[in-house]
Formats: sequence, structure tokens, C-alpha cells
Amino acid sequence: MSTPDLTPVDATGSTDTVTLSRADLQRITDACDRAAAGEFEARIVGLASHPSLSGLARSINQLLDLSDAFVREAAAAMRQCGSDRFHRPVLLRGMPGAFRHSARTINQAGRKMRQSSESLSYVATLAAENATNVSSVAAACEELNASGTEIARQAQDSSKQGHEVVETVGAAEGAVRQLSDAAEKVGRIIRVITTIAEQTHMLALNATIEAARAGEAGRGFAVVAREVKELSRNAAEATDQIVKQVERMHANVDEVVGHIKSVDAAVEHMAQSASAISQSVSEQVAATREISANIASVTQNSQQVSRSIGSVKGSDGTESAA
Amino acid sequence: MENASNQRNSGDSLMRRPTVQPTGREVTFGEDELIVSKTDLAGVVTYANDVFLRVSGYSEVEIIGKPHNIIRHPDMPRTVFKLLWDTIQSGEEIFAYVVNLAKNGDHYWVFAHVTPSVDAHGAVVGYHSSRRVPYPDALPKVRALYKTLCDIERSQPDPRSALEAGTRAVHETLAAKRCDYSQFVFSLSERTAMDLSV
Repeated sequence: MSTPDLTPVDATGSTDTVTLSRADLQRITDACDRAAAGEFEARIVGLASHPSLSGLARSINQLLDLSDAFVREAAAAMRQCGSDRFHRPVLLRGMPGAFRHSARTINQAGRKMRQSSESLSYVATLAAENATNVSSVAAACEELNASGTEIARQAQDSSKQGHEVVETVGAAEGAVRQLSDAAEKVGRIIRVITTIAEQTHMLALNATIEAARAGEAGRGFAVVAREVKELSRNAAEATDQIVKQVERMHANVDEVVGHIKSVDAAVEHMAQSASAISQSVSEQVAATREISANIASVTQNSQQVSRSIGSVKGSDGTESAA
Repeated sequence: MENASNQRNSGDSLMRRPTVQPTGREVTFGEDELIVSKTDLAGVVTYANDVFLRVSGYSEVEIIGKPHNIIRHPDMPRTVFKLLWDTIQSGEEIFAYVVNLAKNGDHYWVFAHVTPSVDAHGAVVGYHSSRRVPYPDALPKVRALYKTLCDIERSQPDPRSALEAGTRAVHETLAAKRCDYSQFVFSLSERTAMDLSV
């Protein structure tokens, strides 16, 4: 077996000769080649007590150990972060120089990821709360809609009934006016009767005078004239009473007409109010429908937010395994 | 090379439990150092770095080809090693505080990071352990827990039920703390969390 010579120069500038077997050289070269290919499993074993190569073997092994440890740690720490687990930093202890610097950078990224994840979780909680609130608002809107529709229906009924009452009251007013007209006619008839009674009285007076002038022959006639005078006086008294009754009737009819007018005004007012209620409630129902439509879109948006958060939070092991 | 050939000739020495008696003396290593070793799938040491050799007191020829439990300290609960092997055999990493036994009976505490080594096709070809100086604020808690586990194991009639009882105790501890093992081991020291905030 031939042994190639390595001729290093030490710090003092002097040179000495190190001998190594081709097999040892090959092992060192292999370990370095594998590391260069990104594979840190190889180590140089068996040269720890070699008089001149132990230092070289130790240095190469140290380099491999650090690279190996760093790669394992960095990958594991990031895999945990990818699963929303942020308790595991790349440990800085034992990591020198650029390894330490990179470990710090990874840990800072992990901290950022944790903050983002926490914010996302918070947003997810809010979105879930929103969804709950929105669905109770939607339920309330539906109830409001139903009761609004019912009120509108009842208000329309009231309005219709009001109009019917107004018509009835109008008819009653007409009937009362006819009554008033009839009383007027009775009054006119009474005046005719009164005139007849007065004229009858005058005739009775004249008959009495003529009877007196006729003397004994007119005595029987005088009795008839007295009876006629008595009848006309009775007729005059009766008509006086009728006149008083008719006047009272007039007063009553006027009072009734007044009451009917008040009722008419009140019912008209009620019918107007019912119409106004019906109108307002219709507007409320329309507004509630609009709210319902908006809530449906809000619900859709919250669901979208929840789904998006779910998909971000769910992408863990499967992706990192690839 | 003479020692190595002796070891290989005496085949049964591979499996023989070490008979080192603990001295109770603690040795340490540098905060900037890593103790590194690799084993094959059966736990036989295939590599130990110079810090490993210096702290454990074994020479490279003494340790290569030996089962890794040559440095196992009697104060270590077997439950912890079961958890460790179960975890790495499932392809996951594990961190554990471990007290190891040096060749001369001294002991040294480490914070070990054990991971499976995979080849280009993703197949596990061995295991790798990097050990750091442990964080001092974690050690009192770890010592108390390990003592409890050892007591539980010793109270059982046979090794199998000892492991079952120990594992149950670990699960109960984790359930009480509402976390998994990884979160638990990182919660033992403030320092590990500080690495996240520097």
C-alpha cells in the first residue's frame, strides 16, 4: 500500500511530513464528498488516536456535527411551527457563529408566526361569535317580519271596518234628517189646523151674535155656537201641545245629528290612523327584508372568513411531510 | 487497534451490562460544546465526538460498537428511555434531560436532542443524539420527577409492569399540565423559551 505525503506548513513556518494510508485519505474524502452532497451522516471514525490525523478528523467531524445538528434542529423547529406549535425554538446553546445567527433568524420567524397564528385564532373566535350573533339577528328579523305582516293585516282590517262604520253613520244621519223633514211637515200641517181653529172660533163668535139678535128663535143656535167655540178652543190647545212636541223633537234631532257628526269625525280619524299604521308597518316590513338580505350576505362573509382561517390553520402535517 | 480487535473477538461483551459503580461526582462540559453520538438501528454506537470521549472517559475504540446504554446511569428511570425509543422509532425527535455515567463512575447531566437519521429515500438508518449542557433551572424539577418515576418502577414486581406504571405516571403528569411531552420538556426551563425571544 503506497502512502502519499502531506506536507503542511505550521505557524512557525517549519514543515514536517505526515503520512497517511490511501484508505484513510479515501475515508476523509468520502465523508467530505457526502457532506458536500448535503448528507451529514458520515463521520471519520478510527483516527481519534492517529498521531497526525486526529486533529484533522476532529475538525471535519466537528464541522459535520454542527451542520448535522443545525439541519435537524432547524427542520424540526419549522415543522412544529407549521403545525401551529410554537414552544420549540432552535436552541442557541452550542450553536456558534453563522449557525447561531441563522437559529436566531428562525426563532424570530417562529415568534412572528406565533403572533400571526394567535391573531388568526382571535379573528376565528370573533368570526364564530359574529356568526352566532348574526343568526340570532336573522331569527329576530324573521319574527319582526311575521309580526309586522300581522299588524299590517289587522290595520287594513281596522281601516276597512272604519270605512264601513263611516258609511253606516252617513245612512243614520240621512234617516235622522228625514225625521227632521217629517217634523217640519207636521209643523206646517199644525199651522193649517191652527188657522182652521181660529177661523172656527171667529165663526162661533159671529154665530153667537146672530143668535142673540134672533132672540127666542136663536136660542138653540146659541147653544150650538157655544159648543163650536168650546171645540175650537180645545183644538187650539191640542195644536199648541203638538207644536211644543214638534219643537222638542227638532231639538232632539239636532242633538242626534251633532252626535252622529262627532262619531263620524272620530271614525274617520281612526280609519286614517289605521291607514297610517298600515303604511308604516309596510315600510318596516320592507326595511326588515332589506336587513334580512344584508344579514344573509354578512353570514356568507363570516362563513367565508371561518373557512379561510380553517384552511390556513389546517395546513400542517400533510404539507410538511412532502 | 489492538483494543478494538479484542472487543470484537469477545462477542458477548457487546451485550454485557456495564459494572461501573457511580461515584456521586458530577463532571461538566462547556456551554458552547455539543456531545454528539450516532447509533445504528439497534442502538450500537457508530460515532462519538471528541467531547463525548472526553466527558465519558471512554476512548473511541472502547465506545464504537458498544450498546449506547453503556453510559446509562442507575438514577435514570427506564420509563424515560422507553419514551425516548418509542418516540424516535416513530420518526419523531425527542428532547430529554438525561444523567449519564462516565467510565470512572462520575456522572454528567445533559439536555439531549435525539433524532432518527434518514437516508435519501426517507428510511430510518440510525439515530443521532446532540447533547447540550442542561439548563440549571430545570434540573431540580427533573431530579424530583426522575426520583418519583424510579420509586414507582421499583415498587412493581417485574420490569414489564414497572414500565407500564412509569408510563402511566408520565401520562398523568402531562394530563395534569394539559400539554404533551414536548411542550412539557420545554416548559421545564425559562431559558429554552428565551431562545425564542432573543
